[in-house]
Amino acid sequence: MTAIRRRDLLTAAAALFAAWRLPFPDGAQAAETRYFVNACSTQDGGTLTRVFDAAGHVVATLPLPGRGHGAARRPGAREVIAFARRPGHFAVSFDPLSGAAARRFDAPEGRHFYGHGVFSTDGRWLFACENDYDNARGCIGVYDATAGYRREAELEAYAIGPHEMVLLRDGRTLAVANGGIHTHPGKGREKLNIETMQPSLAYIDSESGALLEEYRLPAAMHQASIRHIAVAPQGTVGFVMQYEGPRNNLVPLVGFHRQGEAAITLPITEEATLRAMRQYCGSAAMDASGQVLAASAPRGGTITFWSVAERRYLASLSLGDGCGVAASGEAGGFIASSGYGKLVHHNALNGETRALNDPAAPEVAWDNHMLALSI
Amino acid sequence: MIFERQLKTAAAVALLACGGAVAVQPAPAAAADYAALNAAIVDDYVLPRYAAFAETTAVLESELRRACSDDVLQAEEAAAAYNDAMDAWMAVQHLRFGPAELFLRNERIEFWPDKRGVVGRHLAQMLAEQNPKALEPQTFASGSVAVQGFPALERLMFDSEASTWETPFGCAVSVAIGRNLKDIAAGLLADWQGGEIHYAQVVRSATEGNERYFDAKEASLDFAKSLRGAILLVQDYKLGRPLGEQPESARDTRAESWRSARSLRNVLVNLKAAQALYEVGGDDSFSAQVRQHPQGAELDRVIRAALERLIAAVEAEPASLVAALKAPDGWDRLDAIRTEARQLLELMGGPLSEVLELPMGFNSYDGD
Repeated sequence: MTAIRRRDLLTAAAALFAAWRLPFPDGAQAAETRYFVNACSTQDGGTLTRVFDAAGHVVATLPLPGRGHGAARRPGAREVIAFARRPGHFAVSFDPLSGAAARRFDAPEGRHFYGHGVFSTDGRWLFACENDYDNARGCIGVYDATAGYRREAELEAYAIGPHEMVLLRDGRTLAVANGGIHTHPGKGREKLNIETMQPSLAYIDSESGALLEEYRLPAAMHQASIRHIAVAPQGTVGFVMQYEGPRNNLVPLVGFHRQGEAAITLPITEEATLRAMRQYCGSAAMDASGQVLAASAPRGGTITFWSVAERRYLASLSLGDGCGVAASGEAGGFIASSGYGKLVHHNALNGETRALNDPAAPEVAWDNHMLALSI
Repeated sequence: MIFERQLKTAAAVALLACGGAVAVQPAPAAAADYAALNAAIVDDYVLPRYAAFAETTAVLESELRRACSDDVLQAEEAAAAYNDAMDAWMAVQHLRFGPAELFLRNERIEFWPDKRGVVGRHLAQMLAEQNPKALEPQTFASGSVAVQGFPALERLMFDSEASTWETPFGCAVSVAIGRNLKDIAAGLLADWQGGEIHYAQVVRSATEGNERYFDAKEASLDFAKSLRGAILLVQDYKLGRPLGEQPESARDTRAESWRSARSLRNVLVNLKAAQALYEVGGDDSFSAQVRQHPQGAELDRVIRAALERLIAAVEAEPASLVAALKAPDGWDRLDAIRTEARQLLELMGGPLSEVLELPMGFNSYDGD
């Protein structure tokens, strides 16, 4: 078994190197290679997800039945889940090195995906953020990867709009970004409860479904939708927000918390930084070392970087319509993607930036989210 | 010939897209004056167009009253007024924000596309019930949106089945629609010009930030999205839906305004409205701001040329899409127009958004 898989991997890698006319390095198969998954749209409106390497070279392409959103890596397997963008119903499991789709499965009747999910540490259970829209209730679908992604259970999200979640290092606790915004597929993407929305950060026991801890924003900030979340190896979570209140009211858009702390930390941020972010963060990512949180702000055309230890703003990178961001693997390093088709590597600790490019791949508009994985 | 021209745009798209992919960041443009652009668009584009819409719908109302003076609708007497009002509507149809979003105005003016045949159903029901109370202004305006606007009026005036509706009540319905359209158009203009909403002022005061706009740039984005929206309407809805993917799958009754034989006249007015929006404002126009960008001169030339080619191509067709499809190679010619419109959309969502720093398409404004 192991030998066959290994040979497949070698063949795939050799083909890859041959395709780029690069010498095939001996022993390359021994070390893990980092890959990135990002949904995108082609110029003629096709929807797909692409897998590329650290140089930006496309490794695999998976056509999607509609616009994709986030992705989840299945631990211990060469398998990634690509989720539909809300209010979509599809999810596709595929091999990130070949692009071969293994299975499509759907959110059940009365639920749609929000576009994000995460696996249990053993790779068996997939947790997916879902909308029980007729009841205006957020929930987490639990799918068994060993049974063809049969939906086995449903956990409460304890709020409306669970959008993204991470699994903490205990391998059991889910930290959930509950956006608080009620939408119903019968009304498209219209926001139905802006006046009364109550976003939250919820810690949920993935085994019992119990609510362990729950944090709200100060009352004056209840219209800041907690949308995306990332976790550092040391356990601090960073979350990023989208403000739905009056356009001339500047509010913090980035928060930090560590399970057990009495309250959320909202770093005090200079007005110029907040203005540049234009009240909207698109995605969150933690660097591999857990020192830096990246919060993309596509409306402002900027990716902002934040010190996790000091919980403060560090610096930013200008990237028009830049949204997808993921840890590149080096300390402080991120890869970011943009709706204008750009891929950039940036190190927030030393400020170095370089453009990535695959001259052989057709131009695409990169969608909101990037996932990093090592195989 | 149009195919040849189309290749040029395709090549330009590829060229501009590749050029954009090399640099990490666009070269900084001379600071775009979004406030001046917004002011010019409001004064020289939005207000006169809504004024024309208010004026033509007022004429339409009085012409419908006149055409109904014998209790039977003499449709041909009001046809010119109907066409003028439709032209005025097509000239503002793409402005889908601000006052247009209030009170379901967009849907009430024109419930389209009507994928489930709601207009015909609700209109037939209303004509069968013959309830005069349903036509009282307040009741009518808060009833079914499907019978309140142009599509229902078009059926009453131009549908071959109209003879079955040639009753005094059918006439009263057409007058009610005329009055309703006049009221909606007057409301749109009033809300832009003053009153509690005073949207022209909301746009002008965006410079300092207000509840609606973060800054002037965000207000410019609404206009940029309207520009792209006009082309998207043409490409996706007005041509894409009736044409289908192959000539065999064409369905001309999916076209907008097919009963009044003016589907392509609608497209033409939409395209001219897009062209005017791109160029209004002199040195502050979208076009001028693109030209001021270090890499913008070629992009501006390609966009203007594409708009001109599209307009010329549609002008060469009959006003009726049904008629255009019946002509030899008609489907191919319309498909070529659709293709060119799609390439223009790519330019707008990509290089134009990037150069203007106004993302019209993708990550920034879909709220995820």
